[in-house]
Amino acid sequence: MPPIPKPDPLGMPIPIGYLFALKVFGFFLHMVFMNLWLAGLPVAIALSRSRPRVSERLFVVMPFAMAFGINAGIVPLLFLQTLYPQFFYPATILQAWFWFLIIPLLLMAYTAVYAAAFGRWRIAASLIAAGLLTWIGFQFSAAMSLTARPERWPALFQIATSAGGVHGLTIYLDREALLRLGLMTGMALGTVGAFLTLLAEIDRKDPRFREEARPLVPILFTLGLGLFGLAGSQYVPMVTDRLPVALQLLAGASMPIACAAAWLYRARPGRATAIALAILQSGVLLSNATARQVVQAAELGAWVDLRQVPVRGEWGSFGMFLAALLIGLGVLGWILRTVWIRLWEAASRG
Amino acid sequence: MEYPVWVVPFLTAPMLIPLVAIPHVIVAQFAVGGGFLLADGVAWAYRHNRRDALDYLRDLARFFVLLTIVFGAITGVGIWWTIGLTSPESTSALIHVFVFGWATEWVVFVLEIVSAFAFYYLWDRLRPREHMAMGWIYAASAWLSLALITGITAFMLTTGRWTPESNFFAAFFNPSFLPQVLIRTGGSLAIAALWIGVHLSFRASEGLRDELVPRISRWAIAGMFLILIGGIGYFAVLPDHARLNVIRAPLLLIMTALNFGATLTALAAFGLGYLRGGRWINPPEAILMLLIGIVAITSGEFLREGARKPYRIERYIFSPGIRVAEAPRLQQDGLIAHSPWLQLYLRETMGLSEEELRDPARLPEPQKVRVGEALYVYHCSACHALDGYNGMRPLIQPWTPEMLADAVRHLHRTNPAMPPWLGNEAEREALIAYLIRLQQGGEP
Repeated sequence: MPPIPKPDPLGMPIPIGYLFALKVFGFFLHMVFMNLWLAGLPVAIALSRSRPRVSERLFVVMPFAMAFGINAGIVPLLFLQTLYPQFFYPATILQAWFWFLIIPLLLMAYTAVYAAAFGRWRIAASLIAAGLLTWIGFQFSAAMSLTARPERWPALFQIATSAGGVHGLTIYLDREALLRLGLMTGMALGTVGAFLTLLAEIDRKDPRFREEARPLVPILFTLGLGLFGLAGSQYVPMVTDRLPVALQLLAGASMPIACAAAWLYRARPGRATAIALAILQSGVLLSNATARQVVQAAELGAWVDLRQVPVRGEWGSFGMFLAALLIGLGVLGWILRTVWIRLWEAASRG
Repeated sequence: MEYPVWVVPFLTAPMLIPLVAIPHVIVAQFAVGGGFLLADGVAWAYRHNRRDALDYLRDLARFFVLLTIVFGAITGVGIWWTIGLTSPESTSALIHVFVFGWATEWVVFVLEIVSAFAFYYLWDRLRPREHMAMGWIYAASAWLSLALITGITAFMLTTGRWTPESNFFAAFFNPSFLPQVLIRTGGSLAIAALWIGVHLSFRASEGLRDELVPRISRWAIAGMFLILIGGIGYFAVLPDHARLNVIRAPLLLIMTALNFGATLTALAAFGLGYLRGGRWINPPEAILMLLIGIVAITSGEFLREGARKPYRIERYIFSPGIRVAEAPRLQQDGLIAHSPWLQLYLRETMGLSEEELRDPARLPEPQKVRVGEALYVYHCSACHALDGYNGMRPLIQPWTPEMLADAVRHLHRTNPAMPPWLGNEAEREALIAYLIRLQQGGEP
């Protein structure tokens, strides 16, 4: 039996169903923005000569994507630590220095992204950022694998131990993490495609950008589908027993459907097909985010039954959060509306 | 003690927290104070139709926005990252008490980022009223973020009437919450004003300096009064053990003196700035004052962290990551019996049997010393490196074996910043055997 700590004696703040839903929502939100940098940076580098306007837009949007992606990443981590601290902390402590290193690496990547956005050593800076961010993504993926694999902790501990403590210089990397990164990158290519579609069709003031973007979108989706299919064909058999068939079908079929819609957009470009494509791509991300969280819950469910953990009933602070969320959405709506109107005006003036 | 312990040589793992936290606090306070000062500056510039001031403020805003969003955001996450690695029990407890406080802070932080982007990137495109509103939204959300996080950090020092059965609000509105909010709000205004002083001295015309320095000084002087009021309140609500720590520990005493000295110097400088306008400010003086401000924040944070001992969370979790309520059980059954990772090491790596785990005092000396070493890692290494920070080897060098044994026996009486010994008698003997070996310069 691996040395799994007991659930926190303070109990769950509210029933686990709510926490799980918030975790899925947070992961979905994180995926939207993280996808933009995961595939957006390599695409921007690759297209810097052949499609300079697309490349420029992607470089410029990267700092925003990173700001919101990092911010949204807080949510699933917060609820992961609420639901499964006894799995998450040992998995990260066993590889402590590598986990700690993510912070300075992220800082370097973020700085490089800004340098690229401001046009300074653009290719070199974005290559560095893309490399660092892909590595961070892989390490995240591997840490999540280890979180759900307590049976592998003792062997890793034997390598990592120093006088009973952990020196933290061991890193856990596994095939499953690599496959999940492959799945994510495949979806990310689609997200970048959908994002370009929206830019091309909603802001129609730049016809040359539209000309560059339109034929690119189905290519990105097709490449994404290829990678998604390749990684998925090896990953799915590993988790079939932990994933309900309906969710398997939904998550698996969503990407080919979005890809077909991308080709439809190519044949009939316009605002309606662009919005439809963006909605379908959101479906890809949401179904896969849910599937991933369901698999993780099933894996950890083999070790702990969270339904047995007492619930404290933190309804007061939960209400405070919901109220803040509502007010925040209202303020956010006003800010975005104002930004939209002023940008539109500026674009109209040329 | 259910989690593995990360051993960081020379520094101790928890000392990584201030390495990330202090730069973050400085930047976060820049962001909060800068938000108010920028919003006020922009409102003043629009009211007086001052294009030159708006151009200057745009240049200034670039720094605040980029620094807040890049460095502030990542180091903020970094603190959380680091405490999870170094103090998992405490982090888990904080998350279980404050999860929706953190979630609310996330909402506020989203607003902070979005309004900051709009404020800076649409500088010339927004209408004046919209631009001012964005500035105030940015300032207000940054301050709310500060208040929410302060509730959590203040709880670690003063849990007040909170018990594990009570709710978020009992924990959040703890005795040192208000004093710390006042101190941090004041500190934010002061540190932002000090930075703007540096920026003004390099980048603004003399005329603009003359107008802006008294204006920012007014905010900063108000901030300094908040610090003074908050400081008095803070020392009034400090628990006895924390007050004793400040008096007894030379480093904390030095930090207190530095904190007071730097704060008063900054107050004097702001007074001068208010009275004499932009004339007193030049780059070397402004940089020196900023450094003094950074010293004030750094020493204040160090003081806050150091004063908490022997607790991570007052009266709930001891420094080694053991819940206070579990102490009697551990003292009876032993630390090993309740530490699955320690058991794994002793069983698998050292090959000890169940019986030997129960009574390590009866082991042959070399094995006993090794068990003592492992106990040291789990009980002591959170605060004592072997040779570096708070180094154990130099600390015990002049002691006799009897003194050593006595100190471990009466740990919390020897020094009130120490927790009591949280193992049983046999384990204490093993630890003493290790410490004697350490003192003699030998390795287990």
